[in-house]
Amino acid sequence: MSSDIVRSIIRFVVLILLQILVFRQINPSGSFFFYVSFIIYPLFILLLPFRTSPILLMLLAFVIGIIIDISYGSYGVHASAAVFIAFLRPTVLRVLEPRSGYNITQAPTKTHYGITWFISYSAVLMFAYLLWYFSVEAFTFVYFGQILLKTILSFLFSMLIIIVYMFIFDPKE
Amino acid sequence: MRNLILLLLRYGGFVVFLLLEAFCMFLVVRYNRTQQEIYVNSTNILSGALYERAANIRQFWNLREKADSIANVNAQLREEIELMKRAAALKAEKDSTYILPDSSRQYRYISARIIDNATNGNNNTLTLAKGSKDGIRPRQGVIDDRGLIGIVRDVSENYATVVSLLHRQIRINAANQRNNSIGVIAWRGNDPTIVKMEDVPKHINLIQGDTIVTSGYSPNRFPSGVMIGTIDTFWLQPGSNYYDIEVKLSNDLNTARYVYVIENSLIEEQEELEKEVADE
Repeated sequence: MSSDIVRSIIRFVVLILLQILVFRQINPSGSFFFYVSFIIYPLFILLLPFRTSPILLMLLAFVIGIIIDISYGSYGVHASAAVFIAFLRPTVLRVLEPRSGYNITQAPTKTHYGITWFISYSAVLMFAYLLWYFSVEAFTFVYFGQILLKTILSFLFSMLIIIVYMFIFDPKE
Repeated sequence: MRNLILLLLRYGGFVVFLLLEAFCMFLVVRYNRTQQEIYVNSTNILSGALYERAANIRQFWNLREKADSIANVNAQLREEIELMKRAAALKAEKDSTYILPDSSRQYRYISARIIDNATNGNNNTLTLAKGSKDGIRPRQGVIDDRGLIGIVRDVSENYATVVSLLHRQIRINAANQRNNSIGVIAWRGNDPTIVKMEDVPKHINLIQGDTIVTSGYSPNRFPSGVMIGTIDTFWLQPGSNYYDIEVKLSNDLNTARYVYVIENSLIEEQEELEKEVADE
């Protein structure tokens, strides 16, 4: 088994545990925190190697999404958002491709392409994730203002944690 | 086949995306109460309009059935009215409590739909969609809400033919409601809205517009008082002892759709008795 697969499996487990055991438990009372969710596990989808085929990407996203759903008791909501960004990932990567191109044996990390590139890459997909997630959670666009507010606030907090995560673990592959 | 594979290679990712999302949405709607309620409500709004249309169409197809059942109810109501009339008459005579026996239900009404009709010939007949199975017998009277229709001629299991009032051989005992003078109604052809009233002697006082109803006399196919029409014109031929009367029918046989066949439960008894008198 090549090292990137092993790394991905470890990251898979670590991110699920972090999401369920740590970030799901952060639930401070107060009206402000009604709008904030800390979502970091999509990092697993973001950090899969370039050569992962689009279909495998979506299948893996579905699997991790369903596992998160089971712990959140929201069957299908996280999974659909995860599949959505897995579907978007190849397009986003193509748009953000640097002049020198990608090394397809690597993964899209900050080590290889810089912190600015990584933030813009993860910001696009995380925003897409959260917007989709809160839309499906509400299941109606009647309260679109609320959906947008939740998306923006959760986006800011989640991105903060994702960047901290990238600096702490600094994944190479 | 090769094109199909190429298509799948090209859009396979999108197809898998759609399939996975569809499955996710199924899970969302199936296992999340809030989303389920929203889903059910929205689909109800969408399908509501559709269901309403379908119901309208169904109602249209059911109209005939409904009309049938309404006709049946009407027939029952007619019987009730007949019964009440008799009860009221008896009470007036005796001025005491009177419990009406079942046998006093002399007339029964059987509703039937006309499935064939003609008014343009000299000898018109109708066909009804009910027959011996439903209690229809030859020589029973047929009426509708507006007046007289005719007399049953032949009966099969499910159908009955009716000699129309517009038939040259028909004779119906009639009476002038104002003075109870009696006569016989017959049709001479031509105008389907006019019948002749015969055998009214010249000493009877007639007024144009007098109401002509069935007399209820022998052969007793109709109860007394069923509307036939009003006197349109009348005159006396020189040397004749009887009026020539033209009666304008209250009924329009051309537009009749539902009729009531009258079953007289006492007709056999009456006919037998009258035959004895005739035999003497």
